[in-house]
Amino acid sequence: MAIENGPLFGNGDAVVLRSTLDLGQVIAEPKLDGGEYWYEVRFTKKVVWVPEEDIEAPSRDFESVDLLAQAGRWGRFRAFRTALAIERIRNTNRNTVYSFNAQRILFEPYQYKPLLKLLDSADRRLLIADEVGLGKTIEAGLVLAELEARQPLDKVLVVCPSRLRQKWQVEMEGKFGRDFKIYSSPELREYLTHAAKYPEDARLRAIVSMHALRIESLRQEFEVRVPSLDLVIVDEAHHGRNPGTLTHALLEDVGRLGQAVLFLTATPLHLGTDDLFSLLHALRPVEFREADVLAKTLADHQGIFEAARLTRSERPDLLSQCKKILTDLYQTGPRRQSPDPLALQIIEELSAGSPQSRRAWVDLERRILALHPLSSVITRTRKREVQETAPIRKAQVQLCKWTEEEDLAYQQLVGVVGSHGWARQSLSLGQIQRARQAASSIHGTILHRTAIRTEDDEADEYTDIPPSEAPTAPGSPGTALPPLPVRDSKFECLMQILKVVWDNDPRAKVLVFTYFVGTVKYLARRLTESGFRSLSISGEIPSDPRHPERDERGRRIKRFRDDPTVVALVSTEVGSEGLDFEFCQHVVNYDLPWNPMVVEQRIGRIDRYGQKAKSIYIHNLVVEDTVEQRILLRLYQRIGIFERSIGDLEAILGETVRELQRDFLSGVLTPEEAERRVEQAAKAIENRRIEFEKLEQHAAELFGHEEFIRDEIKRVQRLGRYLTGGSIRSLLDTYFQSFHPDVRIWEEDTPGVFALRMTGGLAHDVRLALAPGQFCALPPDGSVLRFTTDGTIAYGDEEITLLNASHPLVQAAVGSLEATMTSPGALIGQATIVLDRNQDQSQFSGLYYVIVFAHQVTGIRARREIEAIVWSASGNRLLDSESAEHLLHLAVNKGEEWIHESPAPAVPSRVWEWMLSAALHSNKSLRERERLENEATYARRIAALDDEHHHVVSQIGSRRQTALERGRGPEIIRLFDAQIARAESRHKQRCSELEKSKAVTTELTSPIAACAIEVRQLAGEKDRR
Amino acid sequence: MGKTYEFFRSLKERVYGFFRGHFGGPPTERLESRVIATPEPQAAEGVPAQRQVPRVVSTKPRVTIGVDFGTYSTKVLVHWGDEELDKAKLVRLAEPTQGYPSFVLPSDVRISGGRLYFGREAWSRETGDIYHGLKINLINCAAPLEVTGGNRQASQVPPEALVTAYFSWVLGLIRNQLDQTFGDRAYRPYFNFAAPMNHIEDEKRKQRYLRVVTVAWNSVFREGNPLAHQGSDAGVLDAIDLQLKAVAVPGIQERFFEVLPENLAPLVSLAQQPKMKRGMYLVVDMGAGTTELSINKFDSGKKGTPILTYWDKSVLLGARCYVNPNDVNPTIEKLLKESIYTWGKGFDKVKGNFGETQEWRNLNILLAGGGTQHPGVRPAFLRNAGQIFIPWAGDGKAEVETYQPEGIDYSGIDRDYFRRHSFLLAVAHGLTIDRQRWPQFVRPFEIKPAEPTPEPPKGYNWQDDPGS
Repeated sequence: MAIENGPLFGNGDAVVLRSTLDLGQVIAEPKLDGGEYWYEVRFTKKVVWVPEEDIEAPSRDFESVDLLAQAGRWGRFRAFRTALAIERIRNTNRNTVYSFNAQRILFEPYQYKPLLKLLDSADRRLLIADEVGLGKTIEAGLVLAELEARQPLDKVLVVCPSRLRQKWQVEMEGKFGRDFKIYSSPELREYLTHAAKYPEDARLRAIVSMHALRIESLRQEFEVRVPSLDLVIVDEAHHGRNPGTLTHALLEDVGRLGQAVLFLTATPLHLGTDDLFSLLHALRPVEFREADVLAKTLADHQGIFEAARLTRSERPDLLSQCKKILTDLYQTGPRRQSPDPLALQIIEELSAGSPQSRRAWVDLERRILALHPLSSVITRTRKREVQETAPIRKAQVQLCKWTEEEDLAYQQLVGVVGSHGWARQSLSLGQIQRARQAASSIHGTILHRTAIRTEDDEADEYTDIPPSEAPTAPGSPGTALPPLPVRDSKFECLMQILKVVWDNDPRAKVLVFTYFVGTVKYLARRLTESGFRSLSISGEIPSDPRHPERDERGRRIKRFRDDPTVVALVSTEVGSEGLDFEFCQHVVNYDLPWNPMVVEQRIGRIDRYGQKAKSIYIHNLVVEDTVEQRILLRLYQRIGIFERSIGDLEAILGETVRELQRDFLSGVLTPEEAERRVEQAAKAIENRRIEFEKLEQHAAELFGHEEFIRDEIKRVQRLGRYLTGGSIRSLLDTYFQSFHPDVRIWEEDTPGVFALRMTGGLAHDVRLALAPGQFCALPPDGSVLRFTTDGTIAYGDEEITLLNASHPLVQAAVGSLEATMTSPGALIGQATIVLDRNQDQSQFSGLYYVIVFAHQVTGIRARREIEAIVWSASGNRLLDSESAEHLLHLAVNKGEEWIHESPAPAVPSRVWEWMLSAALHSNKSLRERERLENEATYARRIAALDDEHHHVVSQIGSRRQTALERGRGPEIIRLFDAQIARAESRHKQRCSELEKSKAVTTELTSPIAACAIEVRQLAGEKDRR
Repeated sequence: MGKTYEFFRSLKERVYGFFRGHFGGPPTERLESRVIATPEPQAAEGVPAQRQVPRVVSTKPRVTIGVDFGTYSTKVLVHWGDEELDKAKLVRLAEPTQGYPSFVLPSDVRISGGRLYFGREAWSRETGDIYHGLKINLINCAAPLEVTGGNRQASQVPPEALVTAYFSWVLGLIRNQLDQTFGDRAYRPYFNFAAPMNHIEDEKRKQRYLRVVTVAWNSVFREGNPLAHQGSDAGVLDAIDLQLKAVAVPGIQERFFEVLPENLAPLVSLAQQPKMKRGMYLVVDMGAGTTELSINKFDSGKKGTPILTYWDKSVLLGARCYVNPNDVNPTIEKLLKESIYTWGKGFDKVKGNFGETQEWRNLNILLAGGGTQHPGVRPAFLRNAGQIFIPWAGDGKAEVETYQPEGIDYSGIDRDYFRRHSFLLAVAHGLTIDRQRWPQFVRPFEIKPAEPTPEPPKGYNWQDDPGS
């Protein structure tokens, strides 16, 4: 442009930056400099100098996305990615799982199963009945995070047994960044009074013990003052399975209060349909009203699982059997009176032919399973389903032999006569305790004599001697301390084991468990003296995970994990309860607990998810010819506890072990009798296990396999139906460039870890974005904030901030950028995806045009769904929806800014029209599908409401009749009449609310974003940059 | 904050709202974005009227070339696109040369057999006369050389002519690369060049550089023919000399190149770094021949990172002084003294103001350039920094770091290799940022013009300098 003609723009002109299509305004007179006119232009909050040739006047193309696309005016890919991220965060989309990989946890696909089920259900009530050890707390946390990302959750209540309160608090804070408070009953009353007075300031994140909520008056107060809770989670819900108990009433009450309700239980639900019914009744009282009706319904629907199984094989020849099962049930069988419209539709489809794609087969299975009455209310995952590569347990027993001197010391410590712990008389509880400690370590007992007490006092469920019975006077039957024996045979045995371990791998980490604090202290010291740096943890070491400066136990564990020079950790059960040591391969049982559940817990510390080793080693130290060897070791070896996980130990071992323990502690058994008792117990345990396995098999039939959910989780991952790290970083980049130009993101040396330097302005914006009651710790002005968007990376390093959709920084970015999204230029971009042909062959090279729309659905399952319409310019065709979604995911994650100097070609108007038609067609199909499903759900709901209403009215009617017969006064009769009137009115109101969601509409939005994408494949070549 | 957004939103709403208003509300089940007709743009109410302007159709990218002409080596980076997205790209103009990192050109000219050789050719050939330290001779107006070329008689050639020939050759190489990337002339080149001077700028020195650059630029980007190639007849130097005498340097508004203070370029580079924290910086950029020192405060503002330069200077001190082992310690000592002097001159300006002095308690010392890579330099600073630069007992700290610019696209070069040598690119990196986009250099105090650069060491000769 010739400068002789003068500047093209003047102060105040609106201009567009050609490269980004950002709209700005000239804010000063132009300046001739370096052969060009330069303009000072304000773009949002940023002011920059730009040469004349880089800007232009906003033309008519900038009126809409389609004009820009058809004019070939593509902006930055960053804009497209940001627009998509904002859509996902601001408008909760059904096909986006917000909590996916966005919490501080290890990624385990099965843990998303309850969440997906809950999202799919119409009333958000679920019983999570996973086997023990699969992380139900995490599953509940994911539900919490997901619901919170979709809508503000004002009041969340967690109800659990007292002993689990702190664990919940720590997990919610550590893994999900949620600040929960433990409430006692007086504190809860105080809160309720406050909430009644200031309802706008009644945010609740409470953990309450079941015991506290058993108080009926408190629950009534709750109902009056806080009539609705956004989410209620009840852990160990099986405590309330017996109708008529206070805990059951608690379940019913909190179930009624919650908008979304989760019951968690590890107890297998094959204890009889009555138990199952009572939990389901508390969860969905309308749907599950009568136990015998449930039993009949379950029996009727038994064939559903078989039908689903037949579709899972994807064999068209089996579909006729599948159809027969459904026809027998819904057209000619027990359900013919009120057939499910969805079932009839499936039968019709099965008559028409078999599904044409893998996706269609999976969808068919999903829809068949959805016909089962329990499909939307229970989820259960079993270990065997998810633990495909469980490490092999290799156990070895090291027998040690005491010297005479040690034997004498033992007798003197315990105050008995009889070698190797075999007493000739019945022992008092105090003596038993001392005997156990001395058997653990004579040296530890003598050196740390005052520490004789059970460490397990806090761990109530695994305690083999109740705290009240633990000896309080360490020195009783009047014995002076024996001299310290010269040798410590047991420790020498330990060293023999450890030397072999460390000779093979000098950095191997070893976890040494003992039951006693004295032994812990002694062992840690001796190991360190022997040249192996060791740390110790026990109940004596202060632990406060919420305040790191006071959390000495946490610090030691972190050191053990991170410091390669520390090779051993000596611990009691309490010291390491609930902790993960999946990086260790070796566990040493320095003494054997009398409760096999404790043994399983110890091994469970390393035999858990995340354990990468193929084998783990369990070393057991037992003094020869003692009670430990002849009774405990024999029993444990007999039931194979060291080699395999016993599953639900409490159910299998509980009573048998308690009886055995009682007999031993009585001291009346001779060694021979004791051995016989062990044999009997082992047999009893074995029989119970077989029985349990059978029941478990039966339970499997109750739940179905739900393979389709696994498939669904894989699809979420493969198709990027979550807020990916790339999206969040792109969002932040755009935010900083527009609003905080002095803040920039850089990548740290650790892959997946990023950093930025905080400024006062940014901190201010983040604080403004905080939700009420939310807290966010930010580094001071000028300091570095290290962050990641990957939950798994954050899991490994607590000091890294995890940024997800609900983080205030991301919320601040979305809040600020939303205003700029009104410009079509902010929605359109061009990208290049470079794929390694060897790694990804799913997408062909070429040019693609992408338009992203959203379908806004109203009805019972009101929601918004994103859809990408993709045109392959090279193939001259539209991509199917699955491929389109995959391409979109690839673009968001692997896309880079357009690498060519000339922009992508414009979309031909003919192609644009086709893409629009495809979007409209898809919207129409969705509406038809949705109408059918809505109709079926509506029919079910209205029938359930009517049923419930009739039931309630008839119950009140019968009570009224009884009152009449007993000649009660008219005021009592009026009372019943009023109750009936209230029930009528409530019923009408609920029906009218349901009526509102009877009609389904599906609206197609204008394009959310558009992009030209070039896919290039480089055979065997590394990344371009 | 809210008001600004509101204003901006309303502006956009008004501009776009007009178009939308023409077509009524969105049709049901149709996309809102359909367009039937195109209205004429009109000024929105309350916004300065937008004039009818022809649509700009040129899409040639602006390419900013940053050339760091060092005493021993020349480093070139180019940048195109815009500041938010693209990295400065490292231009490899020559094959690796022994003694030099693979991505730099030796700043050498050799006349051998009456022919001119540049860069690697000049360095590796053995016959004839080699001319090192072109930069030092340029800034010091060294005595003319007697050059004999081909069949012509010996003549006196000023060092500017030699430097111009070298520049012209370098610019020719750059242009070849850019033509390959964009197509012939399908870009808008802009050239930034650094001269050793402080931020007040030494006008005489700048003019001398500008004359040289103008002649080289004209030959390559206007006439399309570099003044000299490898093996050109040395007689071309006479012609260059004549051109230098006759050239008229275009005004700053018209010219497509600029000579900028070498002191500021590393600061500009530093201001681009994402990790850069605000605070006080003592920047010591020691090249082979000259050292640039500055004491600055990096602040933050809406327009980026304003830099307050309290004092800066350029001294004739460089890595070539390390050649004689006996000179190493005195050189490092001198470097330290110059640093202390610079710091002191800067501190003089604030010492009367208690509030201002507080920020000086935390000092970042950045070492840039090849000269600071001598193993003795960093320890010397580490040893002395705390005591010298932080004269507050036990309060405050000084951190010493080697500055390595990030955000450079070094495709084709091994990552570790690049990282080991990237300290050389601080100046070139700063020069790839358009001058118009340079940070705001605040001048709160009057700073005296640069101290005259000392005379070259007695007996300094072109050929004496060992180079590399």
